[in-house]
Amino acid sequence: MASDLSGLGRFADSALLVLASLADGPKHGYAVMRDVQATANVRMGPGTLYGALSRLEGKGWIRPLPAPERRHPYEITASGRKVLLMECTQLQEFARSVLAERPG
Amino acid sequence: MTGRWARLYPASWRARYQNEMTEVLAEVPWSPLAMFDLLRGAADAWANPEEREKTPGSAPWLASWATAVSLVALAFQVYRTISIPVLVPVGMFGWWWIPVVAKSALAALLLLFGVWLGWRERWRAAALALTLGTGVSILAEIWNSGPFGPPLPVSLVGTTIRLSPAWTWPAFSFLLQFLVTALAIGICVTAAIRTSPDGAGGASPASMYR
Repeated sequence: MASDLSGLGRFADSALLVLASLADGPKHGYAVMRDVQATANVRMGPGTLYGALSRLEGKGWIRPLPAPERRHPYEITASGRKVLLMECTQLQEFARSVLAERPG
Repeated sequence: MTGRWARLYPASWRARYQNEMTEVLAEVPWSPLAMFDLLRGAADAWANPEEREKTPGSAPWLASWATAVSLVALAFQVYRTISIPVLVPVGMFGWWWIPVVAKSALAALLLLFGVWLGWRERWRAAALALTLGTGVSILAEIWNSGPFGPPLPVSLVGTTIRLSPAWTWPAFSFLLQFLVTALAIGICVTAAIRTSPDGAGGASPASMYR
């Protein structure tokens, strides 16, 4: 099993946004959508959101919490946090190298 | 809209996510982009190997579209048998659009029927059999009607065409394909019903959490 998001194909970017959204606490699907739009200015459709959620759940990087109503809140797992940290570190290093080469 | 769109997804996926996605869809404004996103999500769900493993009788998309394509091919066979009466208005009145519309409508109807047929759990095996049977007979017919060498002995249709008077062959061809297809469907439906008495596929929500 791939330990990074590259194995998720077209859902890699959406999955990163979902993990980032869940990093500050459990949320249900619609709350994740709104959070992603507010923080990253990305409008995620329901098909993409649930494609990413199902794959993240399959990898064990998020888990559903018991739901009092029809929608489940999801929380990020310890392995999900590791993946998020690794992806963010890679992005940070990429940004640093680009800024170092082209500071202007 | 939500319930109908959910049917696009695999049964195991619906069992797990349909309820909460219904809630989300109730909050999201309808738009062509949202529809496209749902369609794309459904295609991804079917393409996801983990989702396929949870749904017995895999590759329904393949079955649907392959059947649809074969039914379109069959539609052209049907069209050939009715082309003379359909073409009469063209010769008499110059209504060139009649055969174009008739052929397209027939193909579209059969395409939709093929997709629908391939989607049914119980009919999936029949759909694949229909695809294979129609595909093989049409390919054999094309081979036997062209300058490609010796006729294929495996083609019942081609053999019939060669042995029949010229004016009867389209009718024979269609009748034989119909009979062969009906036989294949009958056998496969019987087998499918025996192996899947409830006709349902997919896992329960509880089993998907394990």
